[in-house]
Amino acid sequence: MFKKGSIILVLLLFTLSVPGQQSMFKALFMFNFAKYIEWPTSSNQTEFVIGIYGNDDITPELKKLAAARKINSKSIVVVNVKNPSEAANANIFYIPSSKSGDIEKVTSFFKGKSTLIVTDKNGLCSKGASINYVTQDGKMKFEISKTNITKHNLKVDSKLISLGIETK
Amino acid sequence: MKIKALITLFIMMCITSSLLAQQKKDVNSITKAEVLEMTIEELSAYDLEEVMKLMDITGASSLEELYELLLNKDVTSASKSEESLFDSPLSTTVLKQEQIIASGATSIEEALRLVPGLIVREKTNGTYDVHIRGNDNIPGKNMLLYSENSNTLVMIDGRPVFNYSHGATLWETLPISFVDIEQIEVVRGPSSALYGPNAVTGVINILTKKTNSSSPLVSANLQGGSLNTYIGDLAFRKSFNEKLNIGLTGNYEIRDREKEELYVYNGGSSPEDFNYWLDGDDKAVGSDYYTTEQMSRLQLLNPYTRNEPLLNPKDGKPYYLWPAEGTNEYAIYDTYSTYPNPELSKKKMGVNAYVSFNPNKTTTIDLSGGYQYSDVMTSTMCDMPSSYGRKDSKTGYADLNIKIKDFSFQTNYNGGTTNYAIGNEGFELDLQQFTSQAEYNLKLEKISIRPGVSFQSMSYDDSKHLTELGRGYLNSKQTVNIAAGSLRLDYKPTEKLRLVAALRAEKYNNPSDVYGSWQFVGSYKINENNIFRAVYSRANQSAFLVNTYSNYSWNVVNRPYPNVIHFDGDKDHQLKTMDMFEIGYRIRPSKNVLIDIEGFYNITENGGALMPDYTSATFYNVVDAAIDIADNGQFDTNAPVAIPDSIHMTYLNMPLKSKQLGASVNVDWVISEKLVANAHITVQQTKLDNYLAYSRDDIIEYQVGKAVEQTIGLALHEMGQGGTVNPVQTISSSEYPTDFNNDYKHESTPSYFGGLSLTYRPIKKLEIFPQSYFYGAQKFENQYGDVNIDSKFLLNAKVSYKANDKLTLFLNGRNILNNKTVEFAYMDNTPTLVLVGFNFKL
Repeated sequence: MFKKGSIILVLLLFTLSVPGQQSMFKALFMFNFAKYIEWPTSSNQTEFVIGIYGNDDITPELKKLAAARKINSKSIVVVNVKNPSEAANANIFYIPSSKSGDIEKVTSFFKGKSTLIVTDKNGLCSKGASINYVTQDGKMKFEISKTNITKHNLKVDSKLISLGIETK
Repeated sequence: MKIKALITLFIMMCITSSLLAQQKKDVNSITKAEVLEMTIEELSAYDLEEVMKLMDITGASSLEELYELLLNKDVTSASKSEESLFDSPLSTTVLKQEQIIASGATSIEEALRLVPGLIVREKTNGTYDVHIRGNDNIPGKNMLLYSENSNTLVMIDGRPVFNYSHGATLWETLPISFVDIEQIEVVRGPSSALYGPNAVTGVINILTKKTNSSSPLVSANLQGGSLNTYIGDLAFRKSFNEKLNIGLTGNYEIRDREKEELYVYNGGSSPEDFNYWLDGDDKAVGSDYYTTEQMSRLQLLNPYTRNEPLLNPKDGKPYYLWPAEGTNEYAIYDTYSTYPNPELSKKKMGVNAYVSFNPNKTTTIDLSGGYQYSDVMTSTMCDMPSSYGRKDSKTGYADLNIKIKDFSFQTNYNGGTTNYAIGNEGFELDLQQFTSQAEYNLKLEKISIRPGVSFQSMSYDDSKHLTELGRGYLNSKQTVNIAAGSLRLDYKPTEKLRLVAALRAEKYNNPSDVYGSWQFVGSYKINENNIFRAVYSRANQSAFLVNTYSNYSWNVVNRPYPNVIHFDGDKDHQLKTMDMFEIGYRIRPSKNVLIDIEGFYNITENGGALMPDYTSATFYNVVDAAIDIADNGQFDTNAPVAIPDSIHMTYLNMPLKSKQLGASVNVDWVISEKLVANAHITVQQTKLDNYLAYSRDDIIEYQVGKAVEQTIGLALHEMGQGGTVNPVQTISSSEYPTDFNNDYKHESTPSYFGGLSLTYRPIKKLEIFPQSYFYGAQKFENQYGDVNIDSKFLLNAKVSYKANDKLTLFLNGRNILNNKTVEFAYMDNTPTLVLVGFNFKL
């Protein structure tokens, strides 16, 4: 009996789960956000650029999507950058949780530019993020700030706002 | 040909559409297994609303929530602005409210056992001794007062809740409870440059919850069980709109001890050295646990006959340890009024109100206020025959915190009455503490500059609580004022490198001196998952009322001598300072593991204590003793008889230097959604230089001896000259022993201590939290002897059942191995508690 218990415990200790699922849904969310956002037409960019600040598990998921899908008939390009200036033409710029401390640096760099800033840390919509992933009662949700989106010359469909948690 | 092509096209369309139909299943009927099998490409065919439903089906988020809760915390106390805990330049730990509740901790102090580097010892049911890293009970061989932690600054939302009268934190006087707490932030290492004096070994900043639109209207926690232990709290929170939020909380706690007997020390441990006579039972007794009724019958034993009480030659009556009320003019508290409920260990209640007003996005105004009442039985802060003392406190506070863009201003008041030693006249004091500070955080591209000013004023007044002036320890209102200026520079020359310098200068009214404290930190973030840091910092204690302004005359009525001991503070004393060197390394070997390693070396100097600086005695046989020693240099027939008469105690700085070397490791591991593990351990060694192994009584004896030597020398000289010598003389000495010890191993701090915990959720509704806390053996040096404390392994466990989103029921066992050994010298055996309770949210 004791032996069996020990084996179960050992198994439990070494059953490392695969933490990829959440990143996949974050990438899917992001891909879908783009359907509800309108970028200014003046841009003659031929690619849809998603900038990711640093390294994050969302990158491989987005790259899989980029290989299979397009956004607004444009190919998706995913770039990992060490500095926002390396993705100056980004349509979406994502700040992973680990880089949340640099939000002000990112918002000041993209100020006035047509970039949707997506973050992953509680409360970042109040610091300038357009859309922010949050976890509530075990469920991933997203906060959305219409004010912050329109500040970046973007238009947002009210449907997207209704699906998220609107912050003012 | 055309028809063939059309048929082919039709067939292909059919195949494609069936394939697509096969790919895109109805979200309302799809199973979890089917979703898990899908690739991201397949899932991308669904729109956002459908993706959200699919995600709910997989329930994939709880693991992420665990990462967020346990591994990706934010902290504000280490840099005074919010940052990721991983990036914190100092040794920092954050305990979230959820973790505290899950752990089953029954008090804030007990919850601190989850924090690396914290030594938490239970004294009586629900009262604790809390130290960061150690340096505890220095100087040793002294009163229990010096075991109180006066080296750590405890704050609630940045408001110091420190006791400036005696130093240290009276934990029971914290007005808040679990329901108030958002998180507890612990910064280890000297932090005066950020937070002002007394952040010597570190800072414990308790941040309260901010009400917002998602706050539950009502939340409550209640548990009760063994030893009449009932602990409950309740909060109402209401968010009127984005701009105005309010909260109202209340808490109550009551606990009993396992016995009603109290320890009386300094009575000897074996029949040969017993010092007391138990009247009524008529037998010699020693240090032991007694009821208050037995304590009222304890008398001093006649040391010569050893079978009767010692009688006072003045009135022929025995010396009672606790004379009955009215026996003489100083006996106004007997054992019953000192300990009216000896079985009660803790009773406390508090109410708090919070108003948060955010007129615009860049302005927040937080106002809070509250009241607390507490009554505890714990170690005495006075010098009494018993190691136990009762304290009660009734205080109120108001705290205003304004932030406008990068400018912050905080002002607060704490006032009321605290009795530090019930049953001793002179220790009940009215207190008024004001603190105000203003800071501006100027953020430039690579550097942020934070200048600040602060002013603190702490007044204590015992005069209203004395039967007559002169019987208090201050006998007036006395004040410690501190004006300070500070500057913090946070420079990030590159993405990876960060350099921080924080400086603070403090001007005290007494001692009239300027104290500097600082912090220099360099951190290098090798990559997202590795950060190395190094710290050099200095911090100091503040002046305390007892060290600065003591003016206490202790008329000793329960001992044959001395008649009086007078205690004086020293307005010009030096404040204790610590210098620390620390290196730290944080590593995230994988997304679900966080390892934090810190190594530290610190040197503490300029401590002190109330010690005899002058002893006066009566030498009854000067001539006989001089003649006796004159022949062969020895006392053969007439040993000197000299009895101390009055002793003058002053707060004396000591040359004592403490050197501590240690390291802590903390591992947080989210093994799976079902299992989370935490382990932390600290190892340390403390050595003392210039350590004088003398208690107060040893010094008195030494000074009497020196005075006798000098008097006999003078007498022999006088007699040699043919002069006459007075046979009975008043003698005195202020000499001090010089046999200092260096590299003396200080064993009051355990050489290792730490904790282990597991959170196991076999199903979503059930959570099992076993938690252990352990420490190595210690030797506690007290003025009445050394006490060996055995090493200990404590095991607690909480089982919670989440009935629904609103209600969680739980069973909570503390010390379930029933490991009774004492954790603190002369205090209670650790009780075992079994509690049942619930957490409720609406």
